[in-house]
Amino acid sequence: MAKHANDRLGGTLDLLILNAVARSGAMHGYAIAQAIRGWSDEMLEIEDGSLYPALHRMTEEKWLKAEWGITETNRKARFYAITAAGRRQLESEERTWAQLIDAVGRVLRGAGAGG
Amino acid sequence: MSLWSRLQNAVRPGRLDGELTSEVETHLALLEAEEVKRGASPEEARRRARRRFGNEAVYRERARERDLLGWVESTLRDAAFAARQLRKAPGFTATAVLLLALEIGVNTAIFTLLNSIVLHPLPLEHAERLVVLLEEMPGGGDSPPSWLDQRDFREQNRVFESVGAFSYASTFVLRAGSGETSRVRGGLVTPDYFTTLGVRPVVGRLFTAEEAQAGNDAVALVHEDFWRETLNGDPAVLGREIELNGRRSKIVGVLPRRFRFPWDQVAVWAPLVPAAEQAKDRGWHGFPMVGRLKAGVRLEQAERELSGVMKRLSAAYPEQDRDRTHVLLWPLQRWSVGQTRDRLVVLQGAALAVFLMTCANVGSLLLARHSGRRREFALRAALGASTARQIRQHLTESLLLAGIGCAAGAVVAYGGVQFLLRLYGTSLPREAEIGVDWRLVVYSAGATLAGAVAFGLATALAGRAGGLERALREGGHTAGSRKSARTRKALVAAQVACAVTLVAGAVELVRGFERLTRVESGLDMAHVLTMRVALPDSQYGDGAGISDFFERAVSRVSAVAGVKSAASINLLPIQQSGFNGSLEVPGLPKPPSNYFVELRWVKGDYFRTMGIPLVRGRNFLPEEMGGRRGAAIINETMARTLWGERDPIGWPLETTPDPGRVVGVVRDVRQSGLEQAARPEMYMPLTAESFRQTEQSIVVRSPLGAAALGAAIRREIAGVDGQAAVYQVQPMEEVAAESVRYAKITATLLALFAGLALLLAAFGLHGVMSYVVHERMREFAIRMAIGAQPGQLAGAIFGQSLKMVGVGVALGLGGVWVVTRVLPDVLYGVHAVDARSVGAAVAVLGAAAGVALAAPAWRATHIDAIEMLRED
Repeated sequence: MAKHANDRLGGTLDLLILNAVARSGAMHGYAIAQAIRGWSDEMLEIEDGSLYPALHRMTEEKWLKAEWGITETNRKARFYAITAAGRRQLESEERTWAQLIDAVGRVLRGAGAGG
Repeated sequence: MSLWSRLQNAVRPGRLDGELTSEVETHLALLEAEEVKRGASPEEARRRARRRFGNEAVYRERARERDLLGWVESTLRDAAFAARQLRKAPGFTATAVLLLALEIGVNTAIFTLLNSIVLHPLPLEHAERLVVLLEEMPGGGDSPPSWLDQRDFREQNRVFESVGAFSYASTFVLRAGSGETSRVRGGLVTPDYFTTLGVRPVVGRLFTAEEAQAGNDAVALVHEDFWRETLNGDPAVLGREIELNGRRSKIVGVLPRRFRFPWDQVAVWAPLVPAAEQAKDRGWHGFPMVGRLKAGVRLEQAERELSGVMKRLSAAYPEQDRDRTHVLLWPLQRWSVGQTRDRLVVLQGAALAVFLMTCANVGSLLLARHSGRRREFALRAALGASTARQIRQHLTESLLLAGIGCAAGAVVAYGGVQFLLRLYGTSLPREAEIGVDWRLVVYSAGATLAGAVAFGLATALAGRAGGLERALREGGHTAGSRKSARTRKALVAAQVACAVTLVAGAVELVRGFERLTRVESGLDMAHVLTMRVALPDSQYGDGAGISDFFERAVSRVSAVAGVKSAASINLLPIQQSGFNGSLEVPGLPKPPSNYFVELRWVKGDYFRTMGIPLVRGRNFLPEEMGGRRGAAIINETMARTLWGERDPIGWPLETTPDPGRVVGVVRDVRQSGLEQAARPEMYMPLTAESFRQTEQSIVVRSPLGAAALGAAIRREIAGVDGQAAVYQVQPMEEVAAESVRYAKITATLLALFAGLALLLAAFGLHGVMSYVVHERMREFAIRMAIGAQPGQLAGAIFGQSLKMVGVGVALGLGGVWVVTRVLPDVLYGVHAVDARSVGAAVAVLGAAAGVALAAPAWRATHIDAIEMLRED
């Protein structure tokens, strides 16, 4: 389950992708990248290419399911949708993320108090 | 991803790859469209899209490696990539595959023989403990024990668990059912012969001890093939009667197919019951023994103990066992294979040298190819391909090459084995066992793999040596490949060395063979037809019958239309020898104990029929032929060695069974093979008192060949006795050719290897020098531009080659020196490679080098300097 617990970057990317797909339904890679860029107001600089290893891995883990489809510009692409297992994973990732934020926040506050 | 799709990915790497590619392409296109919308030019948009996507190759790779079976798939991908690379360089690929196929094929073919004949254990239990016992003759050579010696060895040793004996007699006259008589190979053996070897019958039983008694011995064991083919696999084979040497014998058992002792192609075994005169004559040495050593007894130990017995016998019977003080124990395997082993080892050595040269050559090809691709590899490294990945790619390429070579080599090997079997005919020992087994597969695959890994690693490491930026900076003209160029030159020198050694050896062997074919055989072979005639043993119990048979047969054959003259003799020259005896001539000094005289008995005018000229004295007179007066004709060697300056004509002889006088001296005839010098020989008329031999040869002089005469002659012989078996009907010239057949085969094969070696060395030299010229093109162009003459440039090319060739030749001469000292005397009297052969080898190599260098030199001197310099 917590396969990427120690791998923050990988975990974060998974979280972002799962979140994107959970909110907007089946999307192709470009749309997922666009969505993440849009929501983060372009603050998260992710190379689009790095999505693919993650998408493939997550499909393999059965968090996503992939289907071939045609984009609005009439190109062949794979559309990724979230599965039930994916939703559970998303919840768990969100929790871990929240805990992490919380923990880091506390550490920073504590550090501030001490200084 | 389901297991199925993973498997699919693994099996069809193209699928995942293609999907990923189209997915990524879509993404890139969308990014590009977005950039265009923002106002970028199409090129700019494409660049930006690529930047935003990141390193496509790396992500793709990572995506793929996620796969559970990713390694399989990426290996297949590497293979596919390697295949594409190889396809892109068809010249290189074809050359490398051809070289590998040839080498693997040749090596495997020779190894098949070596493996089946020499390495593969005999199909008997604990075959390593089985030995053949022979007595060592004074002055070298061996001879089997006599029947009485044999009995003493049995009783006085403590080293054998079990021991048996057999006879050198190997021809049986056989009639199965009501068919014609034929001659088959047979073994006369004691009952304990089989239990010693540990063979069990497929059907029936072995011989019992009682069946080794005269009178009870009308029994036979047959070989499985004989049972299936000649007896049609008769289920009621036990108890069936066949006529063996004129006597009805009952079949008591069938021996398994793989049991081929004491000879190859043996079909029938009968109990060995020595004739009365042989059983009590200690001087009749005709019974080799086969023994099974007790577990833990070493060969040397057994040989020592049995030699002790031999010494006692020699002391007790000085007449018959004079100077026989040692026994020879041959491991059964060595004994049944004989000299074939050493000859095959020599050939395998040559094949191995060719293998190493091929490895060097293919390695060199890969290095050259790699030098040309340095830029490509450097680029790929810069783009993120890891070192391990690159090495893996090199290895994959070499392995793929080796794999294809191996497959093609298997075809060559199969053809090669068939070719060798045809070449050797049925004369190879253990022929029935020759075939492919796991050791062969391991050998060939192992050799190929080792070679492939060696070149793969060498090229990969050479690739890392130069440094990336330098390779990129220097572009196509890579000084960094200097190291690989040096390696290649060293490889060429090594190949030249191998080639010199092999060519010198082959030249010597071919010359040796040439000498053999020019040997004075001592007789006029043209228009002489020969055949063996075997009489059923049981019906020709005394000499009178045999003498009478051949008397009548020779006279009837002489009368056949077209026959000029006919005669009979017990052993045919060149083909057979070994029927000999020691001899003391009254009034002459006693010859040394190893002085043996070949004994021959003839009917008819043998010397005229064979074209053997009489040197002194006269031919036999009719009364001598009829046995009313003893007479002998001797050969020149016997006259020279025994009489020296004295005149042998008229000298009395006391030989058993025919005392008489020397009446003539004839020219020497080679007795056993053309390569063996003539031995002392004495001819006597075949009479009732002559030594009883039921198998003799009839020779016929006639301008007509076997095809025209064969049937008529057979008819005449059958007219004398229908039970006589006539076989091996062949011209005398063929008999002579057969005797040098092995020498010819060895010489032919070695010449073949030498040719291959020469080709490889020339090829290697050509490759390196072409590369050197290519590398130095610019330099040459500049030199031409500032006024160098073409001759100077060609000189530079030849000068550089001369160093390589020179070093190679020097090493090769060392190789020749080593080979001539290490090689056992297996090559038909070739003991040393003489200066002329070495000279010839160097000359041939020089010529080949000249041819190999012609093209590079031409290219170097025909550079269009301006064009060349403008290119960069």
